[in-house]
Amino acid sequence: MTRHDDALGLARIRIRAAWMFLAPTLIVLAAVAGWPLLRTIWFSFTDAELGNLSGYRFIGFANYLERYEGEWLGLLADPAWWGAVRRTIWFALVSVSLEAVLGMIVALALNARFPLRGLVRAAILIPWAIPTIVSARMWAWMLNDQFGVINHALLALGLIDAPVAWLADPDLALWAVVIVDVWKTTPFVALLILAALQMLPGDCYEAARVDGIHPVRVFFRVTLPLIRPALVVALIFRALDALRVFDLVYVLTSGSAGTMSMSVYARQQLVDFQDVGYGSAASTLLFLVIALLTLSVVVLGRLRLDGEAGR
Amino acid sequence: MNAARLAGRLAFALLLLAIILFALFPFYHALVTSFRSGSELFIPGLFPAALDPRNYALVFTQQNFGRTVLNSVLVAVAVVGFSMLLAVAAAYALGRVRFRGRGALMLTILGVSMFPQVAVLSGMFELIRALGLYDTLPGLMLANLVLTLPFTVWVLTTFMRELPKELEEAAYVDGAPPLTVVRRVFLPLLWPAMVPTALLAFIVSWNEFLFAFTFTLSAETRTVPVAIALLSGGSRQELPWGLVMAASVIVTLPIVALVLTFQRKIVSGLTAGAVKG
Amino acid sequence: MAGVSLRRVRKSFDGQTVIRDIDLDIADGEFCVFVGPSGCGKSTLLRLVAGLETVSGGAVLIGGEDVTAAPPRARGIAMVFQSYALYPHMTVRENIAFGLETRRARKAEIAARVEAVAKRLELEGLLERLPKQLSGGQRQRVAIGRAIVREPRVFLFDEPLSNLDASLRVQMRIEIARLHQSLRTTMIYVTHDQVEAMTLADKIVVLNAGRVEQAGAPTELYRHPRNLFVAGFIGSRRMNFLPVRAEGMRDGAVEVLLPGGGRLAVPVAGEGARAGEALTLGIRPEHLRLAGGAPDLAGPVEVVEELGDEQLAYLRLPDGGLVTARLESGTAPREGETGALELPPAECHLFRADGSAFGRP
Repeated sequence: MTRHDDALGLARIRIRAAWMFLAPTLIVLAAVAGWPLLRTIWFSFTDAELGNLSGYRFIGFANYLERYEGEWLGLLADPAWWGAVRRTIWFALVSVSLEAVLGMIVALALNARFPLRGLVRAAILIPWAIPTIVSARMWAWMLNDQFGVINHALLALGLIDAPVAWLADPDLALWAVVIVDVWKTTPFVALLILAALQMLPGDCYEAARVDGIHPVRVFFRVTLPLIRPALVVALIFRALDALRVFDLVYVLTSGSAGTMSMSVYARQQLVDFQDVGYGSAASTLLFLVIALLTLSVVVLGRLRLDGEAGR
Repeated sequence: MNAARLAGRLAFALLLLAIILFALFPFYHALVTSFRSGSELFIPGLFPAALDPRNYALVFTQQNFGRTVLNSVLVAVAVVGFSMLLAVAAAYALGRVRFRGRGALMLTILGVSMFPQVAVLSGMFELIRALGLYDTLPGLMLANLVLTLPFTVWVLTTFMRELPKELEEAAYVDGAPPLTVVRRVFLPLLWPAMVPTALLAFIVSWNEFLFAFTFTLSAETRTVPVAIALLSGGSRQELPWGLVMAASVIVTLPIVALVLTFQRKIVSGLTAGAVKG
Repeated sequence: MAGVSLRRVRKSFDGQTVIRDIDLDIADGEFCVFVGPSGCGKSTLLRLVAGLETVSGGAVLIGGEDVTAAPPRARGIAMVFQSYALYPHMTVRENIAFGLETRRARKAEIAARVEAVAKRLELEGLLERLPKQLSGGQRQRVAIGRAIVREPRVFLFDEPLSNLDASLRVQMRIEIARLHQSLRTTMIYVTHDQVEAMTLADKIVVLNAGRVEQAGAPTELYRHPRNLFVAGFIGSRRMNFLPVRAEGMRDGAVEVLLPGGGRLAVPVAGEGARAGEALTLGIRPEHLRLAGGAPDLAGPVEVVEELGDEQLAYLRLPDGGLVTARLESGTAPREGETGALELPPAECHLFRADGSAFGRP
């Protein structure tokens, strides 16, 4: 910036610089997120196919819902889609609830003082760092019906009489997905809760101890209300993550019908069946669900988005 | 120490043990399995009978795993480098300058980081094909920016906000234009925040599966997660578990090492990204 | 070098006006101190001169040139911040050189000027250190060095001494005064400490609620405060204010009725004063004397503070008010005894109900 700037006030210079600094990011995001998203939404109103993305017709809402020879067709009339929706929501609710409870227990344990605390904290980060594909594979092997260590252990302990087909049984497979997800993401939740716990003021605990209040009561009346904001944010992030679940389901159970999530369903239509129009319709719906949830969270939670540069 | 307190301590120790076991056992199990071959695999046992490195050799000879790891590293490094470069500039604008529309922009960027990957899949597929990048590493780098850029912008913005206002003002009084302020004053001060941010972005790219699985086809452009997902043995029925676990250990160890080294910083990066937001 | 002029300068943040139509002229080479209670707008006014904030209305002139719309770099100013704002990752040398580098000065010239400044401020041994390895006083000197190396037309100081401990503050105050003597550059200095203002300034500007209450030389403000606010703010011990009633006017004086019944003719220009009007009489603690004859004020001594060379006696007056008198050491009555004080009429100030002062000779 040169002489030219010297005619402008500092505020104007900074605002102009801000837009110049933002421009590359905004252009890239528009290119790799905005444009593809718009194309996906557009494709959802067409009969495009993967092999020939340029030759398609506009077919209105037919991918979503259409009456054809007296029958309702389209995504909204597809029981497989609704099954995926139901399963995804169930998965998100169950896994996030478990992660909240377990994460809280782990965080409380790690908040206490004991030798080698740093080491334990490092250890619980490991599941989180392992690539999802790898953890899916590790657990698939552990849950293997014939040779898996889990069936071996349960048989040896006499808890089951015959090997359980964890990943093939439609009733159990989704639970298996939940278990692996909980294993992988509880550390994330626990560390966020731990960070919140460590910012709590010590004096109200001392006051509670002086007053002789039972620790359990202290937890529910003091700790929980104080860390609730952090907890809520962490769980919302996790829930939005869980609603998008793909890798884990796809690799752990090969996306079989019993575990198919919304993302897996959409990709199957899109890539395996080459039906870009229909798959895009599913993707668009998933996007809408998550967008609406995010928006309501932002509005309700009044997340601080416009904070000032602090001192 | 009375009996109740002793029991309490014991229960706490058991709880810690359970946590550690739950966290580490699957990885330990994978490690043990990776050193077994053939029928040894199917004998239950918590300890390796012998350290048989055959699987590790096989992964590199049979599966061309070296190339795969290199692909993952190239993609991750390029994506992280580019994301950080753009994000530092954007973070100055979003974190320190008050302008009309800033809140809406922050919201949009946060929104992009919430995008389900499949929502951009068909549009991205078209874009990558149109640019002639299908089945190439640059195509993957482009796609992965969706995942890393909003996140890095968001985290660096929260860190940028914390830096003292007077430093910036002093630099302006010293006659520095905005670019110099960012480059000479803020960038050096932001290093402690950039390390964990870059690391988290690296992990995101390293672990990415859906894009890599959809936008590449040949073995030459495969990344690590795709290679592991596609690993299969001679028979359709049973996977070569020893091989799979050896590959898993190989790709996990560097990440685990990084995470353990930067443990504290990663936690600060995570909390900045999630809680302060 | 250059003078600074403000013309009807106004500033508001989010609809709240913090600077209201300020007109001010600071002469070339003058040491001007902005002083006032916290929140009075003194720092904002300095930042408007610096260009760190842009005025909402009015004009800022430096050296006769309108810089209202110019950024800091184009104003020829240098600034020392309260927190010093040293770049923590740069050595002392780099900190001082930064402002020259951004102006594309030649390397040799930069080095020479940094050395000269370091010598002047006795920083030679510290040039390769980082700010965190320096003491508070050393950091302060680096901040000053960073300002003078650029040879600006105007120096701006924003409460530069408030982070230092008391003894260091006095020492740095003297250094700044010496600096001004040798540089003879216009300086504007913001502080909430009226002692700093009195000792350093050629001109003091007393600010309150975004307005200039009075601007003038330190003795001028001390001797002739224009209103109650300035009278109460300037002076190391707060002026005593007594509610009085105007009794009448006599050749160049206003006769007032004191609390406790005494009468006093205060020599002020009493135009417009009416008999029976409620006024405020101001008298500084250092001007009160123990009464030789009939006292003007009398009351029980509540507390005596012993300061070694002097004593401060606090007297409770019949109307409930408290008066502070500075007395020579060993002369004050004991606590509980009755104190009798005399008011030298020539040292008294008289204020109207709206706070404005009657003119004093």
